[in-house]
Formats: sequence, structure tokens, C-alpha cells
Amino acid sequence: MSAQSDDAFLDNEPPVTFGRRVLDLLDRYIGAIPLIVGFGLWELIAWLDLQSLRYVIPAPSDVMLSLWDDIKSGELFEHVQITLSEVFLGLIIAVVSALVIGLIIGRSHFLERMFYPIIVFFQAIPKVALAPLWLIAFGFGIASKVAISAMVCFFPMLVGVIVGMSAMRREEAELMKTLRATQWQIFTKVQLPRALPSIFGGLEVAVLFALIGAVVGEFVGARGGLGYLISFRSSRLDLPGVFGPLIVLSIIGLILDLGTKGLGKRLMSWQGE
Amino acid sequence: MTTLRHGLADSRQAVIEINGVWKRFASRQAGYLLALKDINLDIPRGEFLALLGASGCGKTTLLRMLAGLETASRGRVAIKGEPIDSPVEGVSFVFQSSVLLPWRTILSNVLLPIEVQGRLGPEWTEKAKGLLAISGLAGFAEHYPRELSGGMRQRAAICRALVTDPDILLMDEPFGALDAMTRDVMNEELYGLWQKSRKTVVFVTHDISEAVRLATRIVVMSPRPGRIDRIIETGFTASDAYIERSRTTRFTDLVAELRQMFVGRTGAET
Repeated sequence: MSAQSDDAFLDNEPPVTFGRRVLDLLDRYIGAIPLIVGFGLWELIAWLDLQSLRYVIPAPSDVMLSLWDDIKSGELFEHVQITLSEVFLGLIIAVVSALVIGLIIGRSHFLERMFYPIIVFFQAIPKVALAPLWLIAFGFGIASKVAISAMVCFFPMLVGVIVGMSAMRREEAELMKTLRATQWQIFTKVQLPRALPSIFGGLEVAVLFALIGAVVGEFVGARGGLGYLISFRSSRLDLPGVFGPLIVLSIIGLILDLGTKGLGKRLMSWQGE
Repeated sequence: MTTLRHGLADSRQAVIEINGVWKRFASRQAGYLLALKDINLDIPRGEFLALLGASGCGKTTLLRMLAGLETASRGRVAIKGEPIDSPVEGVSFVFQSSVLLPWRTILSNVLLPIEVQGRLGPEWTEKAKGLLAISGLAGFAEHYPRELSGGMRQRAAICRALVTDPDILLMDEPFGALDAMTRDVMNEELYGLWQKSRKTVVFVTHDISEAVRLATRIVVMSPRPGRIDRIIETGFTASDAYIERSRTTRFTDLVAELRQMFVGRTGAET
């Protein structure tokens, strides 16, 4: 009798009211509210048509129209393709080399002490300032943008890998030692899984840096890509034409970021919430 | 190997021998710190030995030496007649915390020693599941460590230590982080395991009554430098039941005697 009433008590969920549902929905998409309000204010300012802002902020509706034209003509897609290939090629080069170098350096305390200062030194250099040099070295084609992108995102990735390699706990290393594990087994079964959160932290930064690197490279000199499109149009004071590709760039960045985070979450589901 | 074991059993030789062992650690302030001073101890097969002492007395260092995690600065540590300076087969170590790998399920954690030896197979999975079932963790094989309580995690860690069926079990304050009730239950289970399997157990603790409840022999250690103060035969054997032991006057006498030793010494030093 009492067990039954316990179950009844536990199973008896409070009814889901309409207000509750609205609140849940609001809570879920709370991050969208400032975005919507921001767009509203932006449109309002453009509508007021302040003289001083006429050549700084175009109306969102004009931006959307211009963006729609770009999509219809296929021009946008062409440039997106160029920028994305630069980003992915740069990212692959940087991530693979950072993994190889970072895993080697991170395995040895000696190498880490030896190379960490110089890595920090290079990381501190504002590498986008070197973009003109890479242009001279690799030309106006896609190669120079890939190189800039790779250089910019290499260091955060490398630091993530090296830091991750020291995340293994002393007791875990000792446990593996008492199990008479080989160095390779310690690396694959403990050190690498322990390093994953930090490696993904580095990757999240690297992905966005790669995008910035590619766009900066296109600013400096290119024949295509979203950065090229923006700089070309801004020289002709085509404001809606500048803001369209800018929004597309933000969306690409958002997707890349969410994709990286999603992959990380799947690989590290053991971490829980 | 079998003949060697046979020979050992015949001569009643100790399974663990510690002869004139000293250990020093480099220290920032004092150059060197003497962690262990002239330790001599023989541990016969099947004994439940407690290393008892306040923190800093070197009991953990001594245990880690048996596990091959530390090497003696001077002297000789031998297991089954073989001097050791690195971990040997047939010896399992249980840490103070469970040290389960959080990205592996409980079952996969228990199978880790087998996996490292490259011997995974259905018969080992069965064995691991059997151990989990005995420990009341049958339903948790596919769970992750974070989903278990501290006591359950430590049970899983002991299953991992037992899966290779070691002759020697080294335990470094294995229940130190648990609450008193859980700890008592774990003590009883460990005692039952020892009664049935007659493995050699070396158990580090700073809890006097825990040592008296479990051990056949208690090695009392004192700090600065870490040394053996006294060795006490509890007079209990594997035929004594866990609960019955704490009902005897011998139990209360021993606890009182040891407490007096520690209280008296601390009073004199401070």
C-alpha cells in the first residue's frame, strides 16, 4: 500500500502549462534575443537616416536585398568556396603539424622546457602583420592565403596539444606503471584521452583564427574570396554589398565553431555535463 | 618458477623480504630528507600485514617500494626471492583514490590490466563481470566512473586489482577517503576476500582500529626519520570472523595499547 502510494507520488508530475512552455522556450533560445533586438535597433537607426551615419551603417533590409542578389547571381557562392578552401587547407596543415610537433614535444619534459619559450615568443608575434611578406612569397593565388591561415592558427593549436600532454595525472601514470604498461600503451590509453579536452580547446581557437587569417590575407591581396569581395566593395562605398559577405563570414564562423564543439562533445561524452 | 615456489613454501621463506632498506629524498631546504631508516621486515605468504603510523612516517614510501614505484637508496627489497626495482607480475596496487579512467566504463576499467597484457578475451570479460557481481556492482558494468559513489568506485578499483589474480595485494589507505560506515563495510569485504583467498595483503593505514580489525601483524612506524617502532602480533588468524574480532578483549586491549603509544609519543614530541 505504502509502496504504491510512493510510486504514485513520484509519478505524479506537475501539469505542463502554456506559460511554462513559453518560459522553457525563452530559456532555450535566450541567446537569440539580443540578436533580434540588435537587428531591430539597427534597422531603426537606418530608417532615421542620420546624415552622419549614412556611409557607416546601411539598413539591414538593404543588406538583405544585396545579399539576395549575390546569392541569385552565384557570385557569393564562388567567393565562399574560395575562402572555405583557404580555411580548410590552412587548418589541415596547421592541425596536422601542430599535432605531430606537439605530441613529440609533449612526450618529453626536456623538449618541452627547451621549446616552450620559443613557441610562446612566436605566438606573441602579431602574425597578420606578416601577411604582405607571405603574399610576396606565395603570390596572389590561394597559396598565400592558405599559408597565412595556417600560420595564424598553428600556435594556439600547438599550445593546446602541449598543455594537454601534461594533463595526465601522476597516479594514472603510476597505475599504468604497476600494470607494467609500455610507453606506447601509457600514451594511447591515458595520455592521449587526457589531452583531448585541451587539444579541442586549441582547435576551437584555431578554427576561428584560420578564418580570420584567410580573410586578412584576402584583404592584402587576392583575386577572390569573401575578404576580397568586402575590400573591393568598400573601396566603391557599396555598404550593403560589404555587410552581406560580412554576415556570411559570421555564419561560417558560427558553424565551424559549433561543429568543432559538437565533435569534441561526442569524443568526450564521458565528461558529462 | 613452479619449483621455486615449491621450494619457498617448503622453507617457509617470506614472500616479501626487506633487508636494511634506507630511502632518502632530495629536499629543497635540507639537501636530503631521510624517509626510511634501516627497515628490516619479512612478510610470510598469506599474511595480512598493516603498516600503521602517522603521516610522514614513510609507510607509503615503503609500500610503494614493494610495488616497484620507488627504489631503495640502500638495502634490498625482494619479492619471491627476486630483488626488485620495478613493478613485478603477481603484485597489485590499490591507491588511496580509485584512479579509474573516466572515459572507460567500469567493466573496461576492470579489464585494463588484462588489456595491457594483451590477453583480452571472453573468458576475462566473464571473470571481470564475476568480480563486479561479487562486489555488488553487477548492474554498473557499462556505467562510467562519474556515475558511481566513492565507495563503489573503490570497489571497482579493487576488482581491477584482483582481475589478474595476484598473490600479493598492496593497499595504500584504500578506504581513507570513504565515510566511516562505507569503510566498515569495505573492511569486512576485504577481510572476507583475504579469508577465502589467503592472498598476502600489505595494508597502509593511519587508523588504529582498522589495523587491529584486519591485520594478523601490525608494523608500527614512527616519523623523522621513518623507522619501524614495534611489530605487534594481533594473535588473530583467518579463522576469526570479522565482527567477532572486535568483540574480544584482545581487540580493545590492542587498540588501547596502540593509542597510548601514539598519544604518548605525540605528547613528548610537541
